[in-house]
Amino acid sequence: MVETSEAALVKLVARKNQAAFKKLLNMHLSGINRYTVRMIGNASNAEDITQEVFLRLWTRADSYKPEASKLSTWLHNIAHNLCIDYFRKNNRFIQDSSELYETEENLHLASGSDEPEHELAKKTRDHDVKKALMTLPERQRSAIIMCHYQGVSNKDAAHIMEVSVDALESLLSRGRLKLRKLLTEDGKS
Amino acid sequence: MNIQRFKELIEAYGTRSERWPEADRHAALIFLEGDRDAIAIINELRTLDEALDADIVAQSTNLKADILHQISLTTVNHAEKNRDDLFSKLWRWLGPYANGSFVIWRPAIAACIPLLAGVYLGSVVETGSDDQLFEWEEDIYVMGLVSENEEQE
Repeated sequence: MVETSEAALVKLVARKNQAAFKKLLNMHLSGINRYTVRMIGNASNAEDITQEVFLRLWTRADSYKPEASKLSTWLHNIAHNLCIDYFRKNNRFIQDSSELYETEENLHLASGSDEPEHELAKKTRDHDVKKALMTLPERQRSAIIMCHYQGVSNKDAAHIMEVSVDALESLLSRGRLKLRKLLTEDGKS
Repeated sequence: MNIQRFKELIEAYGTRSERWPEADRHAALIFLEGDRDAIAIINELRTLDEALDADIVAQSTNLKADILHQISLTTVNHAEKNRDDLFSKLWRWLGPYANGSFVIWRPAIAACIPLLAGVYLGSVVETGSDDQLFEWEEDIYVMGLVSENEEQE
């Protein structure tokens, strides 16, 4: 039902209907932005990519085929390709840890807290997660972000990354193993 | 489902069943209920999911407005481009070359347009009548005669 109405909205967007575009923006902006922020590791550059994803929705809506994929998958596909292009152009893999994106917790900490020690420990852990994610090869990172955080199905993620489901599972396993080593005591021991 | 596949599943998709592939989820949940090794695997790998879940990304406040602004700019550009396209289409149509061949009748028609417009205007717009012009000439002639007689007197 949602997919059908989304397809109708995309048709309207193809005819340059701004109200339909706004609805789709409300539905997908936060999800796509979370993906790009986690992929790029830098909120400012990630927002540029997110903007480009939605500009493409606006300019190329007529190329979306609802029978081939969900809109969310189509948008993730564009975002994934733009992130890969970004890495190629910038030849940049690991972000300076000082540039890593802000989380809601970090923002709350900056505004003051009743339990600073607890918050500091949480912030450190969050920072470790971001740092660990950024150390992964981009394809492993993309696979984990899509399947763990974005709720993209394994088939859709494999389609986006142009690999088989088995290859996707291999990317996920290797990525998660590395994260485990970096983030958990069990992995370190 | 067997322990090997269950382990592969958890290592790839994590310990939360909602993230397991739909095709495997039901079988994996049934397997988990009756297998101690499966429970041990879940307990062993749960920490990573907890660490990953703690990471939350804040939403930018201006991003939506920025995108909508960009869209309105591209809409204006699109309208200008369409207008340009219309003019250049007309210009191309009036030119003597169409689809790689020389077509003389198109510029000829274009050249005839002002001529036809002139003929049309000439037939529609009224000018002053000849009778009125003649009356004026007669008046001037009479006035001339009158002033000549006065001089003679």
